[in-house]
Amino acid sequence: MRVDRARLEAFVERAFGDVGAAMTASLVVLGDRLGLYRALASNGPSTSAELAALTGTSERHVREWLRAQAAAFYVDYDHASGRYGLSPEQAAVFADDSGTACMLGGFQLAVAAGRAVDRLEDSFRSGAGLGWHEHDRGVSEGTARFFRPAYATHLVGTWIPSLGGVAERLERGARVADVGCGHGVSTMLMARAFPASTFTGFDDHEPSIGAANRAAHAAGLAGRCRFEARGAKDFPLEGWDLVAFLDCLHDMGDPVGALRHARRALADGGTVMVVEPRAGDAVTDNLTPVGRVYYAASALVCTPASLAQEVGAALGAQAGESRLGEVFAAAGFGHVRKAAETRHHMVLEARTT
Amino acid sequence: MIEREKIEDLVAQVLHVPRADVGPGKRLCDLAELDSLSLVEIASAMDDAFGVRVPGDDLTTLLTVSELADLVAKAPVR
Repeated sequence: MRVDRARLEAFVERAFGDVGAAMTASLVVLGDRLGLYRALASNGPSTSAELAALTGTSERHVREWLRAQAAAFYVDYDHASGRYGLSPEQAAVFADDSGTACMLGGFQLAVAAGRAVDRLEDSFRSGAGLGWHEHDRGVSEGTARFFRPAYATHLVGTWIPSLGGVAERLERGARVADVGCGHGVSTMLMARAFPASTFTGFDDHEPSIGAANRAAHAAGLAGRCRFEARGAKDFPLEGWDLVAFLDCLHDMGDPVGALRHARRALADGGTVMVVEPRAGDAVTDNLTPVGRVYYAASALVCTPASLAQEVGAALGAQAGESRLGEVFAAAGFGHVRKAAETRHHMVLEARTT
Repeated sequence: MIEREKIEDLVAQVLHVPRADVGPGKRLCDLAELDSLSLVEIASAMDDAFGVRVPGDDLTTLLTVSELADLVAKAPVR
């Protein structure tokens, strides 16, 4: 087949745009680390000299950073005044880490995951895995920040209420295990919403557990919300009313073993909640802008992580409901229900009875 | 009390729900199918109208109109 000139031009243009996006990603991380976006948001439209003075940075570096941001339309530039500023929408995405439109975590994750490219080259050739602990620290921190907006929006307002009787049980006082909790974002959101209940987050990534314990302490939740460095198959079988897995089951080497352990760990009438990226069963279902992000993260982080562990099931971040249903069935759950679907996530619920 | 009514107007407008559905005890997540961007809209509108910050990690979805009014009442006058 011969090359079609027009189609080639269009595709090269698209790929060139992606080169720009990839290069800009590191600059977004710099803007986040140096407080450049936050200073622009609080100071209003600024010259490069003003922004450099506000942030204790070098003017010439900042000037070029601002030009690159303007070319990406991440920052607005006013030619007449020579000032750069953030619209309310740009500020919501780049300057407000606690807001639910924040995208800084995604950029941090993307740039940090890219640092593993040499080791991934070896893994791809040998078939070996690459664990979370072998990545740059920005991978786990970026992941926590990346998912926080969705968890803050949906976890206690939509997902938990979608489970049969669980919200009521947590309001009365229940024991919750948050397995694969990372930095504990989900654990702490639940702990704040349900003050009568106690929460324990488990993750085998020790630096994340350290960060989670510090955050719980700082938030004044340390009495009811604690974190332990344990894997998904060795947390205590202590009769949990809810065992939650948020965006982590597919990262596990042995998801069947993890769910089997969770089933044994449930109290009478307890519930397992598995939150996973919302994805179709067929690859073609997921060839979308969102699916692009999740497949890329899966190839860089999730799949290598699973392959680095016992069994190495490597479900991938977009396993789909059917495949996940098979995992539940293999773990001994007779019935699984899709309890909720939100923009990027699906919630699966299983019980022993 | 005036402010509670202003907040109810604001919530109805941002979430595109009938004004009559919005009462003081209603939680935001019970009023509409919220997405992360509607929370940003609520926070931005509250900031605009009252100069009050509603952070996304404050479990905004669970806030009731009364609690939003409390935030306004407790906020430093500026």
